[in-house]
Amino acid sequence: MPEKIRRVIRVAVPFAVMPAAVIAGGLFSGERLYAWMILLMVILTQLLFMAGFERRTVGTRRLVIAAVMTALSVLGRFVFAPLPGFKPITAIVVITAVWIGGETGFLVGALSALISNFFSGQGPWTPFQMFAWGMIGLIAGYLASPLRRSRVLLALYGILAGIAYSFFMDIWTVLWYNGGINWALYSAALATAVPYTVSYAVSNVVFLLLLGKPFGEKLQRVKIKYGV
Amino acid sequence: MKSLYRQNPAAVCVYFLCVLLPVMFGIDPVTAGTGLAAGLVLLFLLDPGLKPRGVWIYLLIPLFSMAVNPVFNHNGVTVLFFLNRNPVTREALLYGLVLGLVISAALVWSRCFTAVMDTDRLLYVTGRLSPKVSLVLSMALRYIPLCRRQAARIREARRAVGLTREDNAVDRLRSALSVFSGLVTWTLENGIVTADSMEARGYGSGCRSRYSLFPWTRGDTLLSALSAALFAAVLAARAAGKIGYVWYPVLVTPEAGPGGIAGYLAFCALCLTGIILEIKERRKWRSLRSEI
Repeated sequence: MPEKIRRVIRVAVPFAVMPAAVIAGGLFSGERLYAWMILLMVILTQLLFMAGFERRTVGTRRLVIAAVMTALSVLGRFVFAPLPGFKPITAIVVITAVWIGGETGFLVGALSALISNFFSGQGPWTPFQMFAWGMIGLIAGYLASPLRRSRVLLALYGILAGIAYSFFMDIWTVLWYNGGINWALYSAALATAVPYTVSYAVSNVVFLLLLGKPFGEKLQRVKIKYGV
Repeated sequence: MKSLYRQNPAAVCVYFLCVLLPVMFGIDPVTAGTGLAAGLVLLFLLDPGLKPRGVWIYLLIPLFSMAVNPVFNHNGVTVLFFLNRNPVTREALLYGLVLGLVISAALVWSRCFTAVMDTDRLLYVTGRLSPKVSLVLSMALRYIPLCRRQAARIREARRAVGLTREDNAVDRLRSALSVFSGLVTWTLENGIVTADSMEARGYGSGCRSRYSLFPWTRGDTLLSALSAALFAAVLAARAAGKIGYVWYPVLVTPEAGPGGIAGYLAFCALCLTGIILEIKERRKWRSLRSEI
């Protein structure tokens, strides 16, 4: 039964549901449907990813490492609680993606957002955060070899990820409030979010530079020692 | 039908979806207001320890929205005054207020949904979709308290031998990082041991079973069917134009007729279903307890 559900998701989501959502969103964009269509698409992307992940043969050790990294990124919030605004989630997602793989990075990012929102409050923004952090991980996985070699590129990726995260989440803020994109509102939201954007970017760079090398060594060591 | 906590998670999802969709799709003061009020009652029923202080924000959002919307939105014909040479219209002001109500109602119902759908139910739902993702999720949830305990142990050990200095921000960051580094090494090793132990016990070789079982009962069918029927009634009234407001350029309120009243009553009944189920459960619990 679940295998059947997964097969249906794999076929129906890309070929039927997503196009239908795009067309319906276009037809009714005057209504507030547009925001919900986008939310639906974001959720569907994650269902698709889950269905695909299930099909892959992923070793038990890799699964457990994904769980451990998710727990650590959520915990970073508590460990670094004395320093407000400093969250290592993005850094840990990027490090996981770079050393273990992009798909694991997506999973760690999405699940970290989901779990940390159990502490800070779930809402319609949860799927968006899951998607944003997941994509930061997935893209870092594609850029793994240059990011592993150069610390400058790693820091640059951290800055870009912080800015992109803020820009992406503000799209959601505007859609959620306004129903459609209103550029004046979007730029106002971006302007009020500048302190947050800066703190995301700075904390990403700090954590990537501080954690990148020791964390990478630890993951590399585990990979060599146990052959993950 | 039983309390929302004891229904199948899928039926609970259907119920919350049927309430949330009418609230969020239309900017309608009746559904938004009823939804907000009913959502707050349900929230206090689900979470009896909640302080009234925690829900003030939901009453402030509409006021904030009423102040913000006219600044960005100049639609509407009834100009009240000009702000920076931009017209502030009555329609935009009212629209902002109702929009704030919609957002508050949606947030309150999301919060109720989170209160019902705890991690156990979340794992049940993800387990149906992908047992692997569900496993990662449940292990991560288990590792959080484990790691917290271990981090406290590392911190205490470092403090005992005099390695921790917490005078300024840099020192604090440095000692937090040292604790974190030790924690990471410990957790990764622990994880590998766990993985080996799982494989030795035959993980992935047979059928997967679940810890929490939520059998689908007649009550679940009843709850889903009732929610869907009431949702369909609201949708039908909206499609027929019996309910629903037009805001721009001029505010048009729906005519009060039997169709419109039926539509709004269906929505009220939908909101009340959850509240009635919780109150019923509460009374049952009390009456059983008094007999002990």
